[in-house]
Amino acid sequence: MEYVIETKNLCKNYMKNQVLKDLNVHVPKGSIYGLVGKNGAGKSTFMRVVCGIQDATAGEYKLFGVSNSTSQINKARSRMGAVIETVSMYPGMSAKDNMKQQYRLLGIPSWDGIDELLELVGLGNTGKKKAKNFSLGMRQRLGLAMTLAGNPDCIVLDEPMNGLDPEGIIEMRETILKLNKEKDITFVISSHILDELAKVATHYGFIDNGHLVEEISADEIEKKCRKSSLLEVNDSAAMVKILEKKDYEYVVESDNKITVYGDFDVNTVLQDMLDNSLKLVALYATNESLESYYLNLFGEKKEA
Amino acid sequence: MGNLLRVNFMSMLKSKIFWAGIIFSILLIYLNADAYSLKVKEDFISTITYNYTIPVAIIACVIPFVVGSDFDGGIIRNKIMAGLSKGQIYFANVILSLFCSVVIAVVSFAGWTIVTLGKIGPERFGRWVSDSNFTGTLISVFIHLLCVLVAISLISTALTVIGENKAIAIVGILLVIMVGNIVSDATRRYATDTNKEDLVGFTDDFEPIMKPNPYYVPEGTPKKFMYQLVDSTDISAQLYYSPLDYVVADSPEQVRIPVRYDIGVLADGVLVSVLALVIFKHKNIK
Repeated sequence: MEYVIETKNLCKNYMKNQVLKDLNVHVPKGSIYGLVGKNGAGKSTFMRVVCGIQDATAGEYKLFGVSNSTSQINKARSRMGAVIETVSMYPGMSAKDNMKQQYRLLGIPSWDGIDELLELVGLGNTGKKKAKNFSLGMRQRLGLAMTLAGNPDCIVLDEPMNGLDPEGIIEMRETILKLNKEKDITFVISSHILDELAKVATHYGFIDNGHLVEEISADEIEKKCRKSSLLEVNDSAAMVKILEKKDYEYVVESDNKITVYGDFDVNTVLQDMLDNSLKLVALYATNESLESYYLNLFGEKKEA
Repeated sequence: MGNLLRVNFMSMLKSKIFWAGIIFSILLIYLNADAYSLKVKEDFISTITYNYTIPVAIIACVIPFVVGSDFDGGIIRNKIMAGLSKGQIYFANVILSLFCSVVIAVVSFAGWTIVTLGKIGPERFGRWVSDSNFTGTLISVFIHLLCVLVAISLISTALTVIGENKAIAIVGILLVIMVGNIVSDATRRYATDTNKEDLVGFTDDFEPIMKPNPYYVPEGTPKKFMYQLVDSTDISAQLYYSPLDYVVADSPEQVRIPVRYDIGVLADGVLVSVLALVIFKHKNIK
């Protein structure tokens, strides 16, 4: 598999405080990689290091296959864009002037595309309003527009949903998905809004205390987070016989509660229950989310 | 690098503080010149040297705002992401601050010269204008001014980049100038504070009362390490040395400032810059 970002035993210390400890992250090309972890886990530090804003204390990272120990790393980094923590912008300039500055920095000879980019992120009508007077959400959008100026192959976004209103969150999500699909841009996104992250991410890296706890694809998580139904019945033993006949996977939780995994044909099972004079007291459908997967993962880790 | 300079210069031209600095320097020079025309008729060289603390102080306040724009909105992160090294970013900021200094200095002195010549006339060039050494001394004075401007710009840039904070940089550079003045060669040469009558400086009617400092160690005498160290702060000497000497000098060649001060002041600026660059390269940017 081709990786856009790859780290090998990456370490970062702030004085005696070790923030990243032998971190091994693999961001596949074309993916939307969600970085998940609690505050202080090392997500932003990881982003700062791979973006070259801070130096690694030890270990190695590669961007587009180019190692950070080579002189070519700056060139490789220019294929990336990033919005880390606060948006990088000139507070005293308008959105358009900020874009022009970014174009100058990247050596783009004309202003073609600036209006389109501002329209894309919903800032097309901000006029001469200075960036320092923008709301947090508008700044996030401006940050995204500025990262898009150089047609990057990879964009790193730290908490991109922060400060966005519900409509803004939907627009940001759709923009990310559109850019990923149409321009094949790889995204690395950290977010505390796990439900939102789950709607875009194709891969996940779970970080805790500077370590990578697990790296997993969204498909794998979906398989792990299977659908299940909790049946509350008057006789578990009789119910088990029915489930055995239907070849369902199940777990008996108590004398009158059974969890059945996978797709569950309610009508057929209900008919069988009626035939066997069984009474259904209650039925709960559950679907484990990224949030519960995260809680289970870190809960297990704590217990361990 | 060219792209980076274009971005920096555009940022400077859009900076209100930069333009305020230019306007403020013209205003101050105009007011100062008016006071001079009423009180005394100093010679041209003396007046330039006496006044050059004004643009230097303005420059010290303006540069942190111009260079500091990199850190205000986290723009430095964009520059790094654009594939630029920290060395390139630092060097571009040095060029920017030097340009900013020169613009303010040129505007200040040109403005001052036009205003005062207009008010007083050609006699403003003073008592030494017909002296054969006048031109040489004038050139030497301008070289000194340039060296001081370069050093102040370099140190101001260094403090801004390392501190990532404009207030710290402004206070820092003003402290460098102030402490430098206190410990300067010229201050030690003339300053005494034993009696009220011996007070150094100018009285209300601008009459100089200066007496040699008995504790001053003349040049060439073996000095204690502390005095050697103090003498290395040549920026300060530049700021006070000239005007004090001019008042008591009999000819322009007496006030020609030794080249070692030029070298010293530049060495101070370069040394601080090199140290700052090393720190900046290893600094964790937020």
